[in-house]
Amino acid sequence: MSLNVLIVDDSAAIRKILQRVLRQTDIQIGEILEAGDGKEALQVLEKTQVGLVLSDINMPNMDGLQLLSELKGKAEWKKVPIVMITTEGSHNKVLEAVNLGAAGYVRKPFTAEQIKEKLVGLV
Amino acid sequence: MESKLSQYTDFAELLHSATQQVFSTMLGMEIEGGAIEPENPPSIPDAGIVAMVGIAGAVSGNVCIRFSNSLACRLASGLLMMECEQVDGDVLDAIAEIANMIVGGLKTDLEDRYGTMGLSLPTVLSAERYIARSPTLGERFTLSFFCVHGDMRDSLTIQMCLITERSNNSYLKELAELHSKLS
Repeated sequence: MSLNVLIVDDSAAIRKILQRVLRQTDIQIGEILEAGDGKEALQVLEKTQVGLVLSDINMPNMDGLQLLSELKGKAEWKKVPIVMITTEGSHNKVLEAVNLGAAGYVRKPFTAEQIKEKLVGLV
Repeated sequence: MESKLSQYTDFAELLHSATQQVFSTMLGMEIEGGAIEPENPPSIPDAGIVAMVGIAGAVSGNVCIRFSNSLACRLASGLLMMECEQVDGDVLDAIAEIANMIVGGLKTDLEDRYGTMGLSLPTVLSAERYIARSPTLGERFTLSFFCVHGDMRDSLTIQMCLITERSNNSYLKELAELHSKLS
């Protein structure tokens, strides 16, 4: 069964890169959806069921940690794994994301292999 | 001037390391050089692309990264894995993200030493004639690199202006004293 993925990042370049990486994995990827911030991501999720979210942290309107908190607070999205992909590397930020329920954390800059490794076992 | 610059060797090394990491990890390219020099903005307008990211908090300042159009296109091609032959929206997006990752890496290292800080969104300009310089407040320095990839060797310049919390407080105190004299 193929997996729909939502990529949330205000950088169009990062969304393109992650799309490419996802298509290179062995995971059967269905639709890849995009959002520029947390608010847009929630609008996408209202309409389409996804099995995985890859999200930046620092974004306008609603940041990635707020999005994470929203998703984990709702029954219909609680079980969707969310991997944070971000320049934020401080211990406190990582801890905050993990405590909010992030399934993984990847720092930018990243290699395609680092992303693939993180996804193995999640989906 | 040399002894003044030596105070910023730590910052320069962190910035160098952050730049190296982005280029090698995301772009598969090496950078050479990176010696610290006093800020030396060109006296005649330049052509190309400049990406600017602000830092605020325990350390405040900004980082300006200057690229030629040709280098910007090569970097965007490498990052996006698609041919970018001229500066367009894709190239500007790519450059914004490269700047974001460089300064983001710097910020994480600075936070370990100085405390919490935040970054602005990157601003990217593409211009035929521009001069980019940092605010006169704060200490300014430049790192000049060469980016090496295949038979290409193109220059890349990073200007940094920074104010640590101590010097910022001193400036604010001076400003308050000046205001009280004027009123």
